Amino acid sequence: MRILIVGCGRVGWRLASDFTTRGHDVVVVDIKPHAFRQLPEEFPGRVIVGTGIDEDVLRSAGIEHADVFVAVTDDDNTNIMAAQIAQKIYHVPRVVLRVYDPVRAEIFRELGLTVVCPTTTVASLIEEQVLAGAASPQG
Amino acid sequence: MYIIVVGGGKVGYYLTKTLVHEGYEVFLIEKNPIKCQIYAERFGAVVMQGDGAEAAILEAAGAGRADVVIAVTGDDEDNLVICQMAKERFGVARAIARVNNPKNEELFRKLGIDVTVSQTNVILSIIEQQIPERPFVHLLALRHADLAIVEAKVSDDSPVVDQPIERIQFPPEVNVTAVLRAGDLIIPTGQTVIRAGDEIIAVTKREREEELRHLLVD
Amino acid sequence: MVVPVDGGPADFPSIDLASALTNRTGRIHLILVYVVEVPQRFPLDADLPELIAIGEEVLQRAEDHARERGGHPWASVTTTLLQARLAAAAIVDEAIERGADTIVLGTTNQRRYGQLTQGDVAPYVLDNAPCDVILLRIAGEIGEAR
Repeated sequence: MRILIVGCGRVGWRLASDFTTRGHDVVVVDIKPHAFRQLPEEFPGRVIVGTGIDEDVLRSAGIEHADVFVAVTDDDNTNIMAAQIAQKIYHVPRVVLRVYDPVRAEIFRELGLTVVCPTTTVASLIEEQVLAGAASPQG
Repeated sequence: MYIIVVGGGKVGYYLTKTLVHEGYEVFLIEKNPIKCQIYAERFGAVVMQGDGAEAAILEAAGAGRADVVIAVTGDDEDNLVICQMAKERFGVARAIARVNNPKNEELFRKLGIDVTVSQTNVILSIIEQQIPERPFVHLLALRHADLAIVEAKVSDDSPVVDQPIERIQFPPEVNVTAVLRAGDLIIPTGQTVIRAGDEIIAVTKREREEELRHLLVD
Repeated sequence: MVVPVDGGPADFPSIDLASALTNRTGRIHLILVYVVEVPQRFPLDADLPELIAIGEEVLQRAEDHARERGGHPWASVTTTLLQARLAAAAIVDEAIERGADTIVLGTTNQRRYGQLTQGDVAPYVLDNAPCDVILLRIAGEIGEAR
């Protein structure tokens, strides 16, 4: 699969590494050149410096032929805009984005985007752990 | 009419000031607390500190009863999301976004923003109107139906010279609305004969602009 | 003389202080003011019967307290219920409109996000009122304010 990842933070580079290991064709876009230092030295994918909300940058990253588009910059609104460009303009078949704000996550889910909200996910995981601890005899 | 402005940079500040002056009920949302304090001293209780893309902030600002939300921050992604939140979450009838990167105007329209304002494009069109040598000028883009108003100066060797309008093969979806000749405004009929040097103002589908330019100017 | 009231513990002490000023100023035209602060999500002229009912009750209690004062300090007692975005600005505007020569403003220490504050009203009134302002900060603290 051709996978385009916008945002090369911890999640972005982790995904980039995993997908290339599985043999996928990966392009990573980040506005900060030093973000790519995290990637493994023998990273076989392409990296492009630029903003993920600029259509020229996305086209040079091959958005027109991408099968998967992932938006994981640390800015919710950038991810939302990038994902909408991918889904509504370039009709990328699979678009996934991260949105920290749970309310925004819900609204854009209703608008047809596939949104992962780490805030609610992590909070419920922690809650689960806390409650499991409280229920155990040592707790 | 109740108007919420998001973004208290220079554009937001003067917009709020003008709208208040015009007698509208206006409310400004700005992230920077120091700016908010200064504006509150100048405008009174029409300024709130907060992130206008947060639902809770829009709610507190009364987005539910707003007629218009105008997003004029310096970041296009923020303006887009603010407008989409206003429309989707709060049912605001009209959302207006400032577009910093002119390339995003088209995109915002496709994503359902009612009106986009690109300073870059506005300034560009002003510059174009000021330069007399330009024979073909895009005066205004109309949002609906992808229409544009253009102005063209008919060149000496154009095939339309000395032809009445009814005989000219204009591209489809082009309507000649006015002819300027030596400073006089002519509202044309089919019998109006076009002369070299006439300035023609036409409403056209945007994709016909190029054909029209070719006919009149090249 | 304008005495703003909000239903808090400073209301009666402020009225008492105002009445004690009789000797200084002669008999007093007492104007009790209560401001309904309208949240931005409502239009300024919104119909807010519950908030208005609270305001009327506070004003009634303040007026009763004022009339119970001995020594006939008042030339008149009137109550005004205002609807505004900011109480402080409304108090100053009312004082200007009524030609008040003094505002007796009661205030209490409150905590906002754990910090001690006088709230927004007292600083604004001190900065903006064109007349005399007598500030009465009563002892003690009231709970968290936003």
